[in-house]
Amino acid sequence: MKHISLITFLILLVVSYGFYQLQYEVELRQDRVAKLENQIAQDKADIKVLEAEWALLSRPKRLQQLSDRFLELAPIDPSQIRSVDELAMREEHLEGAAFAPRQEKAPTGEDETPPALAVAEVPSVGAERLPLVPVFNRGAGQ
Amino acid sequence: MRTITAQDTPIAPGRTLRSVRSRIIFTVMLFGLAFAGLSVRVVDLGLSAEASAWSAARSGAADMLPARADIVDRNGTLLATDLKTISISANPQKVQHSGEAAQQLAQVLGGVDPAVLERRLSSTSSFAWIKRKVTPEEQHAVNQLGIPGITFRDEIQRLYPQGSLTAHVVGYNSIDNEGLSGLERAFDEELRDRAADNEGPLRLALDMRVQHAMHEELGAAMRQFNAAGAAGIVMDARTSQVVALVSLPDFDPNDPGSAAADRQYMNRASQGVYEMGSTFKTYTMALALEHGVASMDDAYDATHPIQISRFTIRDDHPKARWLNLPEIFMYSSNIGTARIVADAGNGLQKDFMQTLGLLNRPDFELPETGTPMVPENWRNVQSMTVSYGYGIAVSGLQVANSIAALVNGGTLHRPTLLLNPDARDDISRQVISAETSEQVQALMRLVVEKGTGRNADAPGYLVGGKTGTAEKSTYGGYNRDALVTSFVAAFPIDDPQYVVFVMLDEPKGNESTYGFAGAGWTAAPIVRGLVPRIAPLLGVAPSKDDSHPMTRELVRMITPEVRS
Repeated sequence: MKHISLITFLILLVVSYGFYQLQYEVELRQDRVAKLENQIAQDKADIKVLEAEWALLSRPKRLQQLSDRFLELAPIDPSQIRSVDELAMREEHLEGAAFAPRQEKAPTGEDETPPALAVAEVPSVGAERLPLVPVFNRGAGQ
Repeated sequence: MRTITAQDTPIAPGRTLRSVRSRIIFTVMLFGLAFAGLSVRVVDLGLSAEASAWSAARSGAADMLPARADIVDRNGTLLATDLKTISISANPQKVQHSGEAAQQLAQVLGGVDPAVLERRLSSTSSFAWIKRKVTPEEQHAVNQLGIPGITFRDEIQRLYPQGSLTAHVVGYNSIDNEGLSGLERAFDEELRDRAADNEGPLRLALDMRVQHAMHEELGAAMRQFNAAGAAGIVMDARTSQVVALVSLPDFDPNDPGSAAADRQYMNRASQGVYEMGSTFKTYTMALALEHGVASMDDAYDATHPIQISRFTIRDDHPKARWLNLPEIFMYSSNIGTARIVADAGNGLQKDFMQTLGLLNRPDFELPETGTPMVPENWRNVQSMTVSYGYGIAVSGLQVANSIAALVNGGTLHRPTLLLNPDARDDISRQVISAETSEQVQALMRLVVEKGTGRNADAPGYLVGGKTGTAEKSTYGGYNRDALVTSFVAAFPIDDPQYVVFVMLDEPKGNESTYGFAGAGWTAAPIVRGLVPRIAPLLGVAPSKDDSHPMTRELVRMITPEVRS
């Protein structure tokens, strides 16, 4: 019976120490959480500033001024736009692998045929290369 | 002193001992419970309560951001955003040498008057603004001065990266971030709620690239013809979504106080109402064709001007003969149009105008949306003048929206600036038949191929449209020298995807137009310049056809001009 006080006192000591440690740990972590939250908020604010700057730098008016100054680009003339079926396809182009849709094949191991060396098989057309024009289908891009 | 003896207690010793022990145990348990409760609470406080105290103490400006949601266009281009900024304030009671401090501050801060500053700094209050919303450089410079009593406060600034390009659509805020005009005002609460609930930006139907092209073409025309103002709208013909809305002159919403004149704040595209002139003939044609008043080959006597009460209705390009419907439209004959509407009757005409939404203030997001001016009495005279666009004043927005309905197969939509408007607000309804709509397309193409709108013909894009030249009404009459010229167009006219409306306020003719200031000379060329620029951006492919199939039939109905 007389040990009860002693035991209680010891338990108290242990619990207090444990609790102190726990609280200390919690504080440390809260500190870290707060710092991270601050950092996130700061980063978000920075992103907003950068987005605003990007919007300022990519204003259509500014882009046009830069384009007029440094690029030799003009608005697209209607005659430059053709749809795919208007293009005169040469036969070798139609058969040539370069213009055929790339075949998506899962790697299945042994019986996988080596990919055809597309570039080598296309006859060099040189000056007859098709012009690089934007190709629209009517009503596309809506 | 009295000693307690066994004789004093009346209870038997054995019973006493038991009773005392039970009391002690009871007390111990009570205290035990209380301490257990306290311990739990202490642990609880240490672990959780402190966390909330933490976050309450740590509320910087970074958390305030943003007070209002961003506004973006259909491609996500930023039109309005909240940025953190610094404002400089002072506690005048702590500032020691107010005169010297004011001098130093005025040197590093732009736009601050040292005398005003000194007065503020020597006041007896404990708070005074020095300058609000400064740049980081200014903040650094003031910090370097090291004047005691000066403090920096985090504030929010609304930035409009597109500047004047969006002035009349997005609008602007007060210095305390309350919406004062445009969408900022219309969606003041919504923008706050969105920011609070983290719902992302307000997405508009506008396309900044198209907006820029319109802004530039209108500006060029305004300078060329020395006009007082200009307005332009590009609208999706099938949904009535506004892709571009420009009003000139404009102002910089980042510095709204900078506008020199009130007229810069006026939104001429949706707020200003004007007598539009001949563009209204499109409505008269649609009315006649839709209600069987006349068919394409019906002819009307346009030989002589019409005398009705004190008015004389004349033609600007008199042919002095009988004209059929396509001719009336392409030569823009006032006499012919007036005769058609006389056949239709004024009741039918008024109902038709009402159906097209021309007689009421349109349901549109902008607070700056004008209410049309309509005749008080709709008698024969008014009916005739309205048939060619006089005696009624509407906004460009109303013209664009109703023309969209006439050419898109006949469906009228609610005009909107939002990309995803609330579906409940949809008021779409069929206003004319698809057949009539096709006839209107053919007539509008005819005007551009053979009539008054030839200057609007953008090769490859099959523009159809109608010119409108109106004299401005002045006290007691009309001013021949003050015109409002407009052109309303749709392209490609055989399957209209976009409607374009452009308007010039008081353009003056010059050498290039042989002195003419009419819509065919001033407004129509804007469309020719604009359409080839915006069509590729909007994904409209050039037409293979060079005419509307029905227009070819109409062309055959036209009596060839005899050159004199």
